[in-house]
Amino acid sequence: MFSGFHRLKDMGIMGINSRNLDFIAPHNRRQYYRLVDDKVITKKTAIEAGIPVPELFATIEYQEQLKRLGDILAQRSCNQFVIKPAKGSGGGGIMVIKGRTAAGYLRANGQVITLPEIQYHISNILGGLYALGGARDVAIIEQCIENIDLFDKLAFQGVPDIRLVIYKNTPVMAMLRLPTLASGGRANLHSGGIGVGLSMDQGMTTNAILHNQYITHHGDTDAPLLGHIMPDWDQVLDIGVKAAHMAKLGYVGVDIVLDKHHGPMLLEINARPGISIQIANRQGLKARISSMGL
Amino acid sequence: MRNKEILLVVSLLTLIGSAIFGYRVFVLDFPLTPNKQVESWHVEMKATLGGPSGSLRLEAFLPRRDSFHTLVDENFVSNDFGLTTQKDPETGNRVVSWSKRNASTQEILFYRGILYETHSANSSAARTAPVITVPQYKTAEFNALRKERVDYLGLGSLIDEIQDKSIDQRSFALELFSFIDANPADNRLEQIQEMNPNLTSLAATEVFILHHVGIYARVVNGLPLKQAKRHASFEARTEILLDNKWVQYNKQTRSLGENRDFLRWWVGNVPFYTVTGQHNATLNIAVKKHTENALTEAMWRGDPTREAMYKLSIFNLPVDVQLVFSILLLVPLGAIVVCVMRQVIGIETFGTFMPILVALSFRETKLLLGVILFCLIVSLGLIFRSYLNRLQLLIIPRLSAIMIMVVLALYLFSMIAYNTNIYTGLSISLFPLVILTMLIERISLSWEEFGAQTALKAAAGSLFVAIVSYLVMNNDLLSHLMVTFPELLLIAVAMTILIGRYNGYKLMEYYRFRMMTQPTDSAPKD
Ligand SMILES: Nc1ncnc2c1ncn2[C@@H]1O[C@H](COP(=O)(O)OP(=O)(O)O)[C@@H](O)[C@H]1O
Ligand SMILES: [Mg+2]
Repeated sequence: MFSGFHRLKDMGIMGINSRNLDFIAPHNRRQYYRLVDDKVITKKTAIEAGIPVPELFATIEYQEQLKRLGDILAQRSCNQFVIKPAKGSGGGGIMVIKGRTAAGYLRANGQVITLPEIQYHISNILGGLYALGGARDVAIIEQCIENIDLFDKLAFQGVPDIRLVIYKNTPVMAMLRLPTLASGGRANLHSGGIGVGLSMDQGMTTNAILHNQYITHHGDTDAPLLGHIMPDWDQVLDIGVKAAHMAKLGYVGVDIVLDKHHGPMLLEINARPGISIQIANRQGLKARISSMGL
Repeated sequence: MRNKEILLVVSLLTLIGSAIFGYRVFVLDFPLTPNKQVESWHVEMKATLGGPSGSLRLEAFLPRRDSFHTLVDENFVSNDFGLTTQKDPETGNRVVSWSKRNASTQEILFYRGILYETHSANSSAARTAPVITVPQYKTAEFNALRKERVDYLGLGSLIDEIQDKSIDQRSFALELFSFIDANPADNRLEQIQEMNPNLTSLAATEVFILHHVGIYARVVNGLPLKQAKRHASFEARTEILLDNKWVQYNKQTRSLGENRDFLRWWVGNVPFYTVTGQHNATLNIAVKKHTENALTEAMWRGDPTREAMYKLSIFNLPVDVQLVFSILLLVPLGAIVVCVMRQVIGIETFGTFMPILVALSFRETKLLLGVILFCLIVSLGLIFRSYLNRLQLLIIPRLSAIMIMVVLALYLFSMIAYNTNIYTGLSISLFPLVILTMLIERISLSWEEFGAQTALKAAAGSLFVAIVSYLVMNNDLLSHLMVTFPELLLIAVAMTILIGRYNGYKLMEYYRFRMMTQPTDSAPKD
């Protein structure tokens, strides 16, 4: 066991404790968390900074607004949208709506959901069910990202995102996250998504993991996962650096989605990025950081 | 810089904590282990006073602390008598004085004291050495008296005889005691006692003789502690000061030594009590032996006239507050368990301190029943919650509904348990309602969001941490230490600070990253 610990150390792997004590505590000032912990503020600041983000359709702050939810959705005449808690994390409370049928709305996984059920979901969000510490929250309704062709092949019912770890305004590690049947349209590994390591130079997929186990093919689509190159990679890295700079945080995870029509867009910034990205890249973050001379 | 500061704070806390701890263990003799058996003696004094009504005062001696016994508690029942207690700084005797201006014809006064045997001898024994004022043997004054007075004639001859057989104070005393033991009716002793009517006891006579050869001696009155006695009577013993210790002569072994089995009550050849007024008094003394575990002993260590360090103990608080703290002081143990489990082992739980509260409730239900109850209530709650989900309620009313269901479930379980006599001691007063409700809510949420596996894993983790906390908090030794030595809280803080700076891997991360640490050739190839 202790030899195992030594091996982890030799490989420069970052543990949660070390991430918190050695990276987050010294480089992320508390006062700047507000910007990243609230997705509405993140979005507004990003727009001001000229970073592309999925369009915000509406925010819902009070239970009373729910009565007009049908109108709000109809007004936008859109059948594709995403509902999420402004202060959520790990994919919690995210509902991806892909279309409409006579019976109601169509979720990413094909399930039909009625308007009252959506209202109920939003009222749960408002009550703080998904927010850290259970504080009151706001629900966001935003544009649903339309997958690029590559992702249509790779992902199952949902939108993949690219997670960049930015340390001292330099991208140090990247990972593509793919939704699966189990993850319900969300790409978060915690929800059951697949993590795919990306090379930093051209964004090529290298290794893939599902639940911390290496895989080579998507279990739901059978698509081979390795050897693909991300389009617009320079733009992805650029958004990542700009977002980290905007957030004034020294160690962050930036989530970026690729839209068929609008290209790379900033989804959210994370002040406490997960450490599984190391498994997907088969390299420790500390080793990567020191090899980059940071 | 920060690490230095932390090292400093941690070592300071540990130092202070262990210093107080060590002092109380080694100097004040607080028991380290909960099951250490300690003898305690309960002594009772009942004074029955009868006579014509009028003003009345009773003065009597009270038991005193000696090398082997510590007085830990005492109380007086004396109705409307004025009560004062005094301690004579010279002899160390303690006197109670009860007085009343118009006492009735029959009055009864009570005293009760509890004394514990101490394991380390109090070294304060020699503090009260008497001053010798009598003429010393072989001095001119003594020789003159020897010619004039018949008692000094006898005394001189007796000392001559003993002196011949002895070389130092110890052997003189030994020879004297064994001589008197063998010849209690020696006419020289009678001569001495006749001329000195204040020498009412043999012990007083012995002290008289010993003082003339310059040996510090005293009459000490007390109770031989062998077994319980409803009507104990005082014995007067001679004690001499040798090598800074008060020793007594032991007839069986014919040796001098400290006597543990003697409860010293007062020193000096003076009567036990005096009555001022018209009443006659009868005083009855009863002694009873108790064997209690040392925690109970600590409970009695409340004597505020003693060392300030006793006061640190929670046993100086009122009993109901004590009860609260005897539980509160365990919580830090649970907190450390949670810290270790989460930061060092890496077990996921729902809610940070939820496991501690669940563990506290296990204390009342006992582990097995507690776990069963926990699982039953949580599963019932989950079923109920999934039904409520269909009704689409607002969050707070929904939580309230779940909570009410939990209360109902608890009530039903208690009813069933009581009526079937499965478990009559079922006590769920501490079962954390609110915590269980939140737990049910969070499990079901996690279940919906991330699937049954994730949810059940975290639920099992929570239960596991709760069980471990329970085992730690319920460990006799640990809980005894925490409750008896609250200064250990400082060490607990130091530990949490240390864990708070632990930047190493969690045990679970070793498992999580196991795929990476294996040689790459074992990984699947594309
Ligand atoms: N606008 C969107 N369109 C499509 N999918 C989305 C959208 N927003 C979020 N998602 C899905 O949900 C996942 C998590 O979203 P994110 O905004 O990063 O929230 P969280 O803070 O919970 O991680 C994304 O990886 C993506 O799969
Ligand atoms: Mg995210």
